[in-house]
Amino acid sequence: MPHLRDRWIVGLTAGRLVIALILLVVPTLVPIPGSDRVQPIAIFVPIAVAVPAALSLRERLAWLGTGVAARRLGILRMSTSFVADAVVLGTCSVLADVVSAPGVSLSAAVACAAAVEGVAYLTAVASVRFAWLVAATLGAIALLGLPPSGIPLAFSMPTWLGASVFVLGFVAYGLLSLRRIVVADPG
Amino acid sequence: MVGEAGVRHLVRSTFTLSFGIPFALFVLLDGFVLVTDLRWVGELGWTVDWANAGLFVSASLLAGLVAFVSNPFFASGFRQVAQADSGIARVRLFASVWLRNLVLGLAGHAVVVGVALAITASTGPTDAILPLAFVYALLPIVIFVTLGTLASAYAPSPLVSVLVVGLAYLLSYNAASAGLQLPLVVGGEEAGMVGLEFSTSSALVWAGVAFAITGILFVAGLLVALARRSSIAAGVTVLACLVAFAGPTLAGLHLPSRVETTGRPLALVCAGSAPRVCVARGHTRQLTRIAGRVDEATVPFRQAGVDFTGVSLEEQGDSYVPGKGILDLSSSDLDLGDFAGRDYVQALTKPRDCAALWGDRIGNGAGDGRSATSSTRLLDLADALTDWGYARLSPAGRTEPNSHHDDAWAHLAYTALAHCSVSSSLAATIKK
Repeated sequence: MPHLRDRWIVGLTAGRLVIALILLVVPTLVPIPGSDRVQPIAIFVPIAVAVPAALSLRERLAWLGTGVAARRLGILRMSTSFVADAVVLGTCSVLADVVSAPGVSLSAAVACAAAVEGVAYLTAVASVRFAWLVAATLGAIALLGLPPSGIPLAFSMPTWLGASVFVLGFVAYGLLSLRRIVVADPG
Repeated sequence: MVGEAGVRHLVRSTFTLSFGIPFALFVLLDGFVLVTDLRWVGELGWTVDWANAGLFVSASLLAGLVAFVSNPFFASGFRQVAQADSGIARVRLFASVWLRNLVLGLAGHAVVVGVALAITASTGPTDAILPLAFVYALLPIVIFVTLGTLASAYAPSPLVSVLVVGLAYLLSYNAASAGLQLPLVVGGEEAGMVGLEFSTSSALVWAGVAFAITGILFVAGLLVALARRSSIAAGVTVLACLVAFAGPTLAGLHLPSRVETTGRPLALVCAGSAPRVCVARGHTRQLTRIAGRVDEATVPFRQAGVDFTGVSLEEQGDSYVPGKGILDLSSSDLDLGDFAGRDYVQALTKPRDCAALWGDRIGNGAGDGRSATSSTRLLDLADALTDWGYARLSPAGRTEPNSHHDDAWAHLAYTALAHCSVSSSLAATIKK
């Protein structure tokens, strides 16, 4: 029988995947502050994907530390965790390429989600507690656009940048997690 | 009462990272809206209103941040440490935490508004401040601080904090789209505040509704803090949220518009001559440059024999004032002065007091078929004259000139526009 923490992690992973897919597929337009233009609801993908991911980091750390007697198992679980994230972002990315919205790049929304999640991971290196706050703040900032184009950051993030920040954040967080496991159980 | 240890912890924690990081994140998000568009720089009134627009998203985050920073104080362990397990102590604890959270929200937004005002005031001449804009800023902050504190008192967990952010954003979104009559969207005039002012009676209605919502949520928070059974706390929380947020709409309330036109002539500052260019006091930063560009745009017209002596182009604000020439440049962009060359030519081709041209657009014109035809003719002629002038002025960006349009035609067209009357023969020359 799975531990509650496992269900929590699986629930948050599956939940954000479902929410992100809905946001990508539903063609609703929403008003955004500071802009007289409406935007596709996919603009919420970064916040919807990154905040639950950040919220599960404490549980993931605990999961990684639960009964782990060897570093190899820690690496295995970390890899599982990484694959889960990659599945969420990858599925969204594939769907974003299929679905199109006029004038915006839905792939950029997924890249932005990856970037925000990556920064949340980096925050978690210092403090897991604040990771979701940072993700929520950056996800909200992604709703806004900068001059001169005014295109929201959620729709203007380059894929390479989003992927890089995500990998950087995950590696940093992963190394920290493994170090904590080793410190907790040197044997 | 809340024990001395509890008060000490409450005060001390305000100066720690646990409080400082959420505070900084709120300021970051609240301030970010300012840099999404810099048209507000120049108008003090619009500066505060634009900063208030940021509360559409930042106040939603604030609700979650408030719940997050309050969680430790509503955990059962803290109540024991703070000797706050009696009824009155729980009430005081809730009130103390709420007050501290309110300080978080108000101080954060005050920092952003202060910086924005400093930028506007320090970079050039400006207009008068509009005090009611500060009152409006309080409303979403107070409501969402109370919501966040209530949520934390009910269930002090990170997940609830996240859900509060989502709920708060949904409420703001529905308030913005007028689905719910809630005083949550309190800024973001798109075209500036020149010619507009905040209505005192509207502000009283908005503040009254906000006060009622806050009161309901606050009382609910006290009851939740007192509740010994979680089912009672849950019931109170849900009921209070329903009454507070759906109540005004279900009661048939319709929040009045925050702003109204002043109805007074604008205080103008002018530059240049033949034509003079005049703008409102809050829009003078680029006045000399704009007047210079308008003067450059007159060259082809002067060569065609047009005399601009006595012509005045005046910013009109939000109302059409008969007897004045109109400066046809976007009012909200005047402080940036970032107009295309064609815009300056266009400003010249519609220079005169012409109700048929401006009245309909601004709302004071007659709506009969005859005036509509006249207005269409005037607009078509103005466009054709703009094309002609811009082609002469800027060979690089010109459109193919109409072969029938020479200097004599331009002189005739300008005179017709100046007198707001286009003859049939002149109208026939507009199309190629």
